[in-house]
Amino acid sequence: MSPIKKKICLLGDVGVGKTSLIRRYVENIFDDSYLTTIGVKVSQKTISPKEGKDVLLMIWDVEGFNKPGTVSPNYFIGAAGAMVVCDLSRGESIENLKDVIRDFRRINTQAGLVLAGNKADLVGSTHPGRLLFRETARSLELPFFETSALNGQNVAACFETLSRKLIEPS
Amino acid sequence: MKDNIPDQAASGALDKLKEILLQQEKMRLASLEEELRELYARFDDKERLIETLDPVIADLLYKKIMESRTQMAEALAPVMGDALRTQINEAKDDIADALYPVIGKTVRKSVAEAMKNLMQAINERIDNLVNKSFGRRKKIDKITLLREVLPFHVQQVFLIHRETGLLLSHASNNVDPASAPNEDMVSGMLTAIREFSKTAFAAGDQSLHEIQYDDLNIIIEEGKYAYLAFVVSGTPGSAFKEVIKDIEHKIHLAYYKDLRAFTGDTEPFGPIRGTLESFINAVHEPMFREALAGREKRSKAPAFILLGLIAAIIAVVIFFFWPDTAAREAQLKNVLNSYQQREGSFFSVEKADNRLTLRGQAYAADRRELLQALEEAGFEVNSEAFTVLPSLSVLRETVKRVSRNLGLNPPISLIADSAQLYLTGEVPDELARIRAARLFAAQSALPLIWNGLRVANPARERLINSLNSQALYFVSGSARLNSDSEKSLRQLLSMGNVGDIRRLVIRGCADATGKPELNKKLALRRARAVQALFLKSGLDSARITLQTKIFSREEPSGPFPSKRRVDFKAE
Repeated sequence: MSPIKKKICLLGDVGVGKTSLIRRYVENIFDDSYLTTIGVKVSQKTISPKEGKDVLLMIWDVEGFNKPGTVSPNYFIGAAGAMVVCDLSRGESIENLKDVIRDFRRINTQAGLVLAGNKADLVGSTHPGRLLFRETARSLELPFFETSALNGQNVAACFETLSRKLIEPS
Repeated sequence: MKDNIPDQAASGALDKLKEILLQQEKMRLASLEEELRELYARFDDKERLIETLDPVIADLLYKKIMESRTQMAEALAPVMGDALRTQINEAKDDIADALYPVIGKTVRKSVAEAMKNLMQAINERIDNLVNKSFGRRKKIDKITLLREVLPFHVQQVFLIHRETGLLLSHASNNVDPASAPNEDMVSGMLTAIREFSKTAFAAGDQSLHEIQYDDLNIIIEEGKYAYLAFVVSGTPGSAFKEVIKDIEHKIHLAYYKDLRAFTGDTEPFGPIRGTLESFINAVHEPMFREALAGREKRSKAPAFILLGLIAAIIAVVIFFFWPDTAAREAQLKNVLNSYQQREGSFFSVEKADNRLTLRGQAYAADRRELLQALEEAGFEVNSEAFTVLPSLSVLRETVKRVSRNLGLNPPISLIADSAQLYLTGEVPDELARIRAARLFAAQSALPLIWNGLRVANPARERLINSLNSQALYFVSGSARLNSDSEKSLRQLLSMGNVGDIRRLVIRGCADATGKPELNKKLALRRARAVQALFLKSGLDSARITLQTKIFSREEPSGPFPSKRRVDFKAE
């Protein structure tokens, strides 16, 4: 039985750890040079839910920019969802989440989203970045995970939550 | 002491004698010493040494080469090789300039030679294989034949959903699939590269059709919802493009609904794999048929002569008995004109002899009638690209749906105007404008619509509304703006950019007090006074129209309290 295929985007500022999260999670990956050459790199992961068909995620790792709005919106077209990543140790990347989401939503109004506050291993439990991230996620009413590409914390959970959202839209 | 005196005299004489006897030798010795110094100097000074050896080196080399060619080649080759490498590395441009006149000719000659050999080889192999098959009284295995002779072959075919880049179907003749990169990822990256090229080179609606990598070509045939990517080794001919276009068209016809509603489930496209696989095997068939047709033409020449005679007789009959060609052309023109004027119809006609190719769209009933009329008129019609337009009510529902999906409020609308369909309305930005049109095109499946959507400009709206709802007032008999009016106007102008005003009517008004001619002049002077301020603010004079209005005593002053005013009509 062929899987359900879904395109998702990984978005966020430069250096927040998107590519590291993918490396932690995916099965197949293209050379990183694609990311610097054309600004996007496609990876793949199959998820097998307890019920129903497998889901084949085609993950578009879109090169991050420090200024939202500079990523080509063409890359967002046709995405069923997105994981929006920030760096918990960098407040600016958390503040930019809203702009990144706005740009993505302009193309995909119905797409599912999850937030990933990455580099959780670098910040303590009371770090202002962690608190700001939780507050931002709640205000956006989106599922969120504090992840670490270094030790794997919540990486799979974050992707799996997104894939569930894609096959069971609320 | 005395004994010494003769000795001294003798010694002096001896020296004198030596000098006389050895003078010549001394001179010779000095000369030899000088020559020796000169020789040393010549060896020490490279330039002088080269100057000295130059006349003999060429002779020496010539002599040595003549004596032992192989030995000299072996001795010089490494040095020459190093020298060439160094020179090429250090002066690439110079080398290129030097070789340019020779290289072009060499390459042309080499390519021409290779092509000639290739064609000769293909012809010979076709002849051999076809003759062998005829000899065996067996049906020709066209595929085998083509595989044998064609200089290219399709290695993989991808059917990729255009918007998402997801792979819908794939076929490969790769014997070792494990060695090939994952086809889902390839299709994703291919789509990403296409999007990149669109963005990077601002290609707009145009897109990437071919990627060349070493001996591999990725040839892309784009359809409305999906595109086919063929990985081809070698160079396919022009017929290949037609074949793949045909395949794309057939896939879209057969899977139109599934492609349009695709959300990630690739099950419905399962059967396409078989088609693509057989396509990999059969893709060369049309070209093969062409080759074979040429052979059959030669072998059946008498039959063709007979057919030619019959055709000539038919042509003569047609010439004398068929209605006048000009009248027929006029009839065709009238039929086409009458349908082209109909609401929603938009199509072009290409005529080749008796064959018409229609491209565009029309409502189902009009389309059916037109095709019938043309066929009754004796034309052979190709209507593959002449699509059915859904009813206007259905299209308007689609537009509403697009508005809802994109959150456009107020919603955009659709106008059918003089045989063309326009999307109209305002959207917040350029991206929404493009997206709305794309979404509508995708949902309606119309091949042609005009995007008349405007990007909303709230500041402009405020300015236009304010101008249309305000007036500037003057004291009796005066065309001079008072300070309050001038202040009001400046406030108005600060609400937006005057350059956004597309058309502005400035109407100078006066009441009926005094002579009518003077009142008219007064009204015009008022309008001009206000015009001057707009011009000063940068509004193009071509966009301004001046009007005057003299209110009679009985006439009410309209929406404004005073008749002594200037009011506006802005767009």
